Amino acid sequence: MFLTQIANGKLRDVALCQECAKKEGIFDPQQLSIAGQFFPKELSGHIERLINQILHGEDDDEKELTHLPNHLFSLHGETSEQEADYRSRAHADVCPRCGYTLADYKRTHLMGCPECYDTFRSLLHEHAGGLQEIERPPHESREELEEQMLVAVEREDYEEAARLRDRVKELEKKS
Amino acid sequence: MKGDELQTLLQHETPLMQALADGESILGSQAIIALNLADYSFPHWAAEDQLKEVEEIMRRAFKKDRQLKRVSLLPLSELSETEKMLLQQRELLPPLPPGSAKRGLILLDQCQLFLGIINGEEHLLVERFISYGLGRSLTSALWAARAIQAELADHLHVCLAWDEEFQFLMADPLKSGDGLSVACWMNLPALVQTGELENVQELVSEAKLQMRPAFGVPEEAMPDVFRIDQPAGEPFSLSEFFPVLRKLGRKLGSMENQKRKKMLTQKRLGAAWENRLSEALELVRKGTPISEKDLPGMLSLLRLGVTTQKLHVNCPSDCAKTHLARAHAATQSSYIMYSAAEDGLPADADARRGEVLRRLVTEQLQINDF
Repeated sequence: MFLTQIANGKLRDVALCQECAKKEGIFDPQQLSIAGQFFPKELSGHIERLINQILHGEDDDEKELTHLPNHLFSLHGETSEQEADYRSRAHADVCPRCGYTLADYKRTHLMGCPECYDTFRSLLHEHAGGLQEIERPPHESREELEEQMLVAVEREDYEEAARLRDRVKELEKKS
Repeated sequence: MKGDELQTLLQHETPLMQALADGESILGSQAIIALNLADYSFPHWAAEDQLKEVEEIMRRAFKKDRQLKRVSLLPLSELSETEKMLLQQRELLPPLPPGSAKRGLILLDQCQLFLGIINGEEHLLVERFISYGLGRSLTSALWAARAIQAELADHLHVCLAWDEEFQFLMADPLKSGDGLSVACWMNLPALVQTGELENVQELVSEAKLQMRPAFGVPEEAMPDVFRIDQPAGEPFSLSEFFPVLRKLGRKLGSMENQKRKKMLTQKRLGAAWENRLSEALELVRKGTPISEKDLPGMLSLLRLGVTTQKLHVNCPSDCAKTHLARAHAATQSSYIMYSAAEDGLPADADARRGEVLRRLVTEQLQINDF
């Protein structure tokens, strides 16, 4: 079994027989000691999948490339067009920027980076139902505006107080 | 962390503790902002060099911010586990997410107006507590947080993690929104001691809000001080939540004040309550060892006894309530550990706790029987 290890920005081939792989526990996805020791944390998930694909005969190179996180593309010397292409084909269960996986999200209930929100958007809608409904700018009630106006006067922010006074008047007209 | 710095911080009266000492039913309002930077992984997933970069960005931004430039930023790694616990139990440091022992900074503000942490669960979390009242203080706290948010955004010189749909992006998607949350702090000893806590909880549930005991984990927390905010992990709308919180806070405050007023005018409060108060006083006077579990209930009884003038206090400087409010801090396990050179909780911790309270009551407060 051949693996490509990336350490300190350099590529290195690692050859392992099936027995050694077994000894290192890489058949057990919970004990990926090799991936954990050789690769930075953000890559270990991808290496895990790569190992599983090799072991299970799913060696579809193109498919695997699309699983690799964004910063790996530069290591392979791709142009920005190629990178964009890879990104567009990236699987929806891996964030192309940080390499965070769907499994990571399910385990931690946290996102990996801002771009994960794009990657897992449909999942978020499904999982958290109605997330789009959260947090809108506070509705301005007359009572609140009047309180804010008092605070603004206390702070001697008369410009803001005048703006708030106008908003109160507008609300009065509407009602 | 240098001992002097921590000592100075602990000796200062926090706005929350001051409001508690004054016996306010509505202790104050709290607004929390949480922000992340675009193009950076969230702290739990970020590599060391990214966290370092964020730390530097925040240090620069804080220096330029007019409100925050007096706040010291202390590396989290300089705090021992006991010190972290000590600050958390006094609500001076937000709860730390698991695995946050890596690179991070805490906000150290001697005036204790701001609390916060950088590279905790989010890249930036700042809390602003405004004591007393709920109407105006809640609005002010919200405004103060928004002002910090706006000023920091000007000084960060990086984009904030923002999405048209989800707005400010947090590590926890259920918290994403405008990066802001508000809470009110209530002090309800009369309702708790007269067995009306269930009614209070019912009102909180009806309002679809949540209530948690303040100052540490529930079993060590004060039984009558609560933080009320939106339920964790459930989507909420600030526009709906804000007026509900204010209305509920005012209602509970009014219920508590009415109950206290009634207690003040009553000559007797009922045998059960008076017996408990009497027993608590006797234990304290004898210097009986007190477990951390029993301590909050005992202090709650004593504080309410003083507030409702059922315990007569001969305190020359009229600072009985302050002493009682401080007693909780001085008898917490973390403080005893800290005083004992952080070598774990000493075997005689309960005895020490009893002795601290005995001295307080017999020497400083001079509480007479009721």
